[in-house]
Amino acid sequence: MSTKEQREHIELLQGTLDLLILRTLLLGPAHGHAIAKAIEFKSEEVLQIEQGSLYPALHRLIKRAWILVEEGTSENNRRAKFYRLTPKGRKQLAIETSKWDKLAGAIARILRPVEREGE
Amino acid sequence: MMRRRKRMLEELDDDIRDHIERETQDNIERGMSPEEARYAAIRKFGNVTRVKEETREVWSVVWFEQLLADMRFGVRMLRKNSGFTAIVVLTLALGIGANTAIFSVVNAVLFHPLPIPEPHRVVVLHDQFPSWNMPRTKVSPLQFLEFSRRTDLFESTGALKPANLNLTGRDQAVRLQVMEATAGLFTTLGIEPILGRMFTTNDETRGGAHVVLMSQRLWRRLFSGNRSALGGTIKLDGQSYQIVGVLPENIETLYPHVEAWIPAAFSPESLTEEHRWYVDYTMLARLRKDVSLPQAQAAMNTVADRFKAEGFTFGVEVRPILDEQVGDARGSLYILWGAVGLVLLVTCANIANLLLARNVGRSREIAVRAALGAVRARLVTQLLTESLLLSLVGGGFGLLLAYAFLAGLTRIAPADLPHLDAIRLDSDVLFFTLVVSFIAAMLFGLVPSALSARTDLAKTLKEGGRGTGSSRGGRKLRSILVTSEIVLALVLLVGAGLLLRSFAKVLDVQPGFDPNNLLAMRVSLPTAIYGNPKQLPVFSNTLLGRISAVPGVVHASIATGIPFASDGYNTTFEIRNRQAQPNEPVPHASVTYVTSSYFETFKIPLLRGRFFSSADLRYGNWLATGAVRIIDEALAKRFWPNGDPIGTEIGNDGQWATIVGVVGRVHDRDLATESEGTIYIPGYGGTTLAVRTASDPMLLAGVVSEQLRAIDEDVAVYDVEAVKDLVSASLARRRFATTLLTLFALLAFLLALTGLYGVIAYVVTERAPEIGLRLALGAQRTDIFRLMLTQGLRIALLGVVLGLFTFSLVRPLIASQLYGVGSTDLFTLIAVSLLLLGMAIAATFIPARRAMRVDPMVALRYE
Repeated sequence: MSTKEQREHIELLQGTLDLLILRTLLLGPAHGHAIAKAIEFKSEEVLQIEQGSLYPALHRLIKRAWILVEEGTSENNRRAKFYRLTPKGRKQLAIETSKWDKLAGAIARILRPVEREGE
Repeated sequence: MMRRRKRMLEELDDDIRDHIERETQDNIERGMSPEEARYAAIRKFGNVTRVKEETREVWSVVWFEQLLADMRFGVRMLRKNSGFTAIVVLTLALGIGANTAIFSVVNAVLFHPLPIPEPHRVVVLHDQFPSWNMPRTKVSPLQFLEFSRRTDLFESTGALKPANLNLTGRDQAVRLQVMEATAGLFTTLGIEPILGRMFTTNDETRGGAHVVLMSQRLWRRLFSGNRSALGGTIKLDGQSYQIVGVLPENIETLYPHVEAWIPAAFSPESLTEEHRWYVDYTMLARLRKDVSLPQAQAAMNTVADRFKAEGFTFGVEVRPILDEQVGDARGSLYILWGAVGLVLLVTCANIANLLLARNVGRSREIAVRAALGAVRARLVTQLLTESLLLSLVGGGFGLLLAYAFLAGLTRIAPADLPHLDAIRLDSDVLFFTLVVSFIAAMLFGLVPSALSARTDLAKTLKEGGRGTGSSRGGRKLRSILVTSEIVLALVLLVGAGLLLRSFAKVLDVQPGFDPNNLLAMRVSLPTAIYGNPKQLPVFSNTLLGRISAVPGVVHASIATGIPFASDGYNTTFEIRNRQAQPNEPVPHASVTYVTSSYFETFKIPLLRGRFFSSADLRYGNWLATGAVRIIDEALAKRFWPNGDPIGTEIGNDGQWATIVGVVGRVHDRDLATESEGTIYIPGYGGTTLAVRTASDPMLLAGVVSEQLRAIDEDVAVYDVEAVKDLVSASLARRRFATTLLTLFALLAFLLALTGLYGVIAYVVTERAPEIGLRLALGAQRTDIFRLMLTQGLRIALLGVVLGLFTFSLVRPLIASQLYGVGSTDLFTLIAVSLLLLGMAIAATFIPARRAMRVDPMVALRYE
């Protein structure tokens, strides 16, 4: 029973991470380290993810066929794995983004009811 | 999926290492010392082991874990409802068990590959003389040689012919089943000796050294399987045969009773044109790899066309050896297989019904689970898992039942069913049972599960535990299921009814002689001695004299064959001074050589003229002056429909014999087939002894054999039987099919009745409040009773009507198995329909009575 709870707990966090990965890959294929860097950089270092947690998330996205892996060479001519967004992933990103917007909006309205009245 | 998972996980280590290196590099560029940079990178990455574990979890097979959980839950549910589970498992075990048993018979008899290489290429060639009513005969030596020359069709050919030889030179002469075979036979079959060598074409020369091949069984019996037997000799009919080899066991599957093989040597005479139609050899051929069966058949049709002008129709059939082995067993086995399949369908319908009823009871549980967020697909899977569990357990018990069924089945199976000893619960059968169990689970599980999962949540939860939410659709479905059960049961019952009626009709057939108190045995005479024309009559007369003197013997007679024991001979003949009709086939008839007291022995009635006297008997010169014949009624009716055949002459090639008597017709092979007519020839030609006894014939068997041996030590006796048993054995296949189909039909019938009972009982329970209300409002109890009865009757009537229609579709299948009744026999159709309706009323009666006794107060209080 305990493992189940844990998994649900993690899933919540991962859901967000998934969204971030998909968003990052929208700009073009990237390898694992680059994705981690990009997320850190874009969020202005606010989101300090544990870089390792990227990998289960990547695999989950591969399994769902939202992204795919391809072999390639990185900028400094090293062999590397590139992750690329699939059309299905692109669609999912749109869905997730709008969901997130709604959620964020709803939470914002609850947290700042005054501002809403002032509109 | 599994491969992809493996690859992804394998590369994970590299990916992680790569990642950390890149991070280290970044850190160095940021000005850290290499050591520091690496440490920071690892820290930032986090727990590598955990990352790996979590990644692996992503790929773990969720459905499998769910299945396990469903199974655990299923087992718990089934144990909780142990009564329900027991009923379902028992019903299923019956259905699956019956199917498994029949399949193992079908598998062994029809699908069992013959133990020879590429058996589909081995064929048997038959002559066909449709106009003589001989659809399939053997071929003559001349034809064998001619056909064998067709190397464009056949890779190799072989011929064989049974020979009776006595194993002599030991304490007591023993008759051996010997087969004459050409050297090519073993090549054709692809059989190698386990010891020594096969025949060579050298062995086929007439007058050469006698050689013999032994079956493994004989080798063990005579020589205890000692290799030194090779090169030794055994005496057959007093002549020495050198043992050149021992045959492997697989030839015994094809020729189970043959103990020894000797080379076939065709006499120059048998290869002349006059002997073209002396068809006494079975011809086997192995088709060339590039020749298909239809091609070979087409080529042989062309060969047969050469004889179109001969005044009779002629064909050559190329028949796969498997068909040859299985014969007409195929039709009845397929019918039984189909029937037992229908039984399984009825079983499934019945269980679906039970599940529907139970799932209605569980609708609240299901609604709660749905409300808590279970997806419909998950609910269906979970209910299906329960069905699967049920059917697997049922299948397991079914296997046990099948084991018991098989024991009984092989006991009543006709002895001439090939590969009977190969019937067992082997891996094929286990696999079949598994598949059938799975299919059954889908059949009876899918619809109820889907229906339950569609439960209207709000309504079910609001209505509390009674959960009648899905009842309307459920009730309709249950009626449909029961109706189809009745349809299938009716089809089976009609089929069984027709077979039973046929069987009764066959039993009513008078064989034309009295098979009771009649003993038959075959005598095997050493041909070396009794080939001499003088010896056989002397031996026969001595024998008949001695046997007639035995107390308890009423009559004794010797013939070439007796009814139900031998294939008999066939001949063509001419009728003197008779103008043949245009296009009329050459007259033909069975021929039996008999001694004078034959008709008295068999109690075959004399219709006209006289019986044979001992003065009529001869050996050889069958058509010399003074020869007489007796014909049977069938032949008399055919050729002398209005006249008297007595005094007419029949014969061949301008030689004639006079007809002196007409006797009653006799069924000679099968009670269900009419004999085409028989000519009886008075003479010493036969080796079958028939003895009419005053009491139980088998009591005299020993004494009679002793008398035989007293005359000649080298005479062997075999096939000692009461003729009554021979007649009974001829019915074995019919009895087998009839018994089984009747059992299956009864099983289906019973299941359908319980199904009907269940539906009506359920309706009564469900409508109890309504019935209570009606009663409270003044409805008569008899009205309620009638209402419920009508419901049951309506289902039954619809089932019967649809069943009769369905039967009309499968009717042609069973038509070939019937005798004396048409496949639309009104009596059977009406009787079965009435039986079903009557029993349906009885099944409805109990719940209907309960409906009548509903207490309005109690019923309404629950509302």
